[in-house]
Amino acid sequence: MGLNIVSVAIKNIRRKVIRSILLLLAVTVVTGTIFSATLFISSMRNALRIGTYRLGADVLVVPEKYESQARSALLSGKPESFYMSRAVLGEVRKVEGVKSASAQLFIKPASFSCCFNVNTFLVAFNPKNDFTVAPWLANHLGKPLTGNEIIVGRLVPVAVGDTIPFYGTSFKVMGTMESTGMNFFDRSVFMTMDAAYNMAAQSKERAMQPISINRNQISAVLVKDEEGYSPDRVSIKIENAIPGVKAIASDKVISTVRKQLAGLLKGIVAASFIIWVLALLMMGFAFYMIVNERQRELGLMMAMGAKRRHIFGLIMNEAIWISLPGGMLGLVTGSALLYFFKGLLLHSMRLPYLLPRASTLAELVAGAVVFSLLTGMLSSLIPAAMASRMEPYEAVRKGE
Amino acid sequence: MKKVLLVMAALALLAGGYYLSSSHTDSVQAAGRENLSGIAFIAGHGGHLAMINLATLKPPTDIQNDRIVITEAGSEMEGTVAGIHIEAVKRQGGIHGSALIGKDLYVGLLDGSVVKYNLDTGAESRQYKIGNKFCDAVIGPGGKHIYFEDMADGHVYEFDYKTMKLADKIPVGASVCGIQWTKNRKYAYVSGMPDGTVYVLDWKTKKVVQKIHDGTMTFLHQIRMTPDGKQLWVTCANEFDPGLKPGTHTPEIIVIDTATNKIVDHIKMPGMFVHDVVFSPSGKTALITARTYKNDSELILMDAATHVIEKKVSTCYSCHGAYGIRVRMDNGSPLLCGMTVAWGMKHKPKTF
Repeated sequence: MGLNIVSVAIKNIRRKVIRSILLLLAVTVVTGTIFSATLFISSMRNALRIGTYRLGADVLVVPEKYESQARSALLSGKPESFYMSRAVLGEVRKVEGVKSASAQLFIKPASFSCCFNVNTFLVAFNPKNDFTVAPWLANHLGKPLTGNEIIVGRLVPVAVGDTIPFYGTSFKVMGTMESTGMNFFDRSVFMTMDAAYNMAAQSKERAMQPISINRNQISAVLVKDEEGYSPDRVSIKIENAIPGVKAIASDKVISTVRKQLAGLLKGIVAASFIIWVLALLMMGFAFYMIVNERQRELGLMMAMGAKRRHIFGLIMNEAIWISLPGGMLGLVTGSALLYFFKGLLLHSMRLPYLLPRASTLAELVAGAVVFSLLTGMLSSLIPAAMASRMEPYEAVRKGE
Repeated sequence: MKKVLLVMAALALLAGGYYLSSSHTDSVQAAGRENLSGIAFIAGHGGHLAMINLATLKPPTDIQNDRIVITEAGSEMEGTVAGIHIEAVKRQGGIHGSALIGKDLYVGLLDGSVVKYNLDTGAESRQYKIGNKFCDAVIGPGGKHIYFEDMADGHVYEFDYKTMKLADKIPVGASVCGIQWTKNRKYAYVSGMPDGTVYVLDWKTKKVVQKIHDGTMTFLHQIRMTPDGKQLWVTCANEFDPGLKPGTHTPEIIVIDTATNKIVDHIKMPGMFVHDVVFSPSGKTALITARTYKNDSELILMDAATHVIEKKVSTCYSCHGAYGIRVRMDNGSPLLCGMTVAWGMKHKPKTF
């Protein structure tokens, strides 16, 4: 029998447009919800991974009272100013398990500026021993920063070659770092320690709102561990050896956020599962009704020679051709919703965000399409099996 | 009449003998036992320390005066009492080991916290959360730190009791329970519980340099060096076989020669799930805590040279039974763990 099941299935879908659209929308909602939630979580994980790699430090040492501000600065890039004695750097270097240490200075820009009013975070580093920005400079700029040269994060709205003022001192933009998803990098302006101290010293004469920082002050010490020492262990040793400091193990920051994300993920998985089960039940019922009301038609098809597998395939095909566009539409709506509400979510969660690389994105998209197809096929499995087992005569009679 | 009296006396003797042999305070062999002076503090999953006067070896019977309560993990209370959520306290778990420095007992909790308890005033510090699930608490060489062994993450936590801060966290195995040092402080021994291994650490580098194991060691608890430093006694309760399958080996104490790091003796302790050992200052007597996995745990006195058990003292049922307390946690068995002794202390400290 020359039966083209696909074309018959598509004709059947078109025959009941409203019902088909409703079924398609159910798949859209399920796929869209799960895809956007998965993409959101993956993006946050990706940002954490890349951001931590970029930070390059195993442990961040800050003044004891400013632990939460330091975490906030690191995770959400919230500009913070806190200082401790430079002597801490020397003390940290003496601690067992510390391979190298480098100081950084965090400066919150003035709340107003005549010409440049952008929410940035000034981070000063020592080019001689820094392992956060210096490797990037070596790879991309080919030279260290000198004088009043700066590099900026991706979200700072300036171009290479621009000159921007901070506390009355003008700085020349030498480069823009690629996006990391972490505001600590993406919204920061990086300059040398010398430049920062000079800027502070000159701010008394040049700036409307001067800043007071002396060369004996630093904000944080970034630490790389010796092999065989865990960041956790080194941070314990630092805190024990140096009073008044808090050593934050970078992997602990991430594990804390991961725990936070795990909680969120559980909620999303539970909600998605409920939506999915509801969609399955709804679609299953709809297909059951479809089979029921088309008993006569299916019976006649069988009487004319259609085999059980043709009937089964017909119902399954109808499910597939509803689920596939439904899944596609889900991908589009999920992405659109994420795009529009991402800012709001990130603002409330204060976590970094960076879309995963293309291959991961492709995997997510493929996964979502397969998922939508599975949803349709699962929901129609029982009705399709029922339809294929009907006796032609009985089906025609019952369908009358 | 005389015959009747003789028969009655004989029956009384028999009854008395039967009572002594079957009661929870067994006197297996009293002859030649060393006279001890001190108070033993034995930590338990119930969250309190049983106190036993080693001079009298009288089992604890007074719920007020024979124990120090650190947490209400084994409490019969339920719900919220005086603002304390009892269920949360119970989930947190009891205590497992303690170290005595002066009049301060530093107690390790089963949730990885440390509490300081002053024996004179009864003042109890807040809980300092530093690890995950502590087993023993041992004063380190030099007396500067207390070392807590973690059964959940396999680290030894070096705790500075003066600042109440963590000083180091040494990775050793998957789950560790006890630590001891050689006299020259060159090496440390750490007992790994589920792998039945005693790890030897170079104490300078804190790295594992040797592992001691034999087929009969399947589940270890705490360890103790003899006062002369020549032998390490390792408690192998062997409740479990590898892979945490039900144990098939007899509980025993493994004796390791610290000069060669070889196992030189297996002291079989059938039915006595040994957990900790403390030696008397002379080294003649080994005081051993052991679980029965029935309704009691025991303090066992053993001649350290001959390995003859001299006395068993009930540490739980003597008190629980007197008050009609039925243990509901740990399948109804009161589980005692680590012991610390205040040698020379004549009287149990006042409880509050």
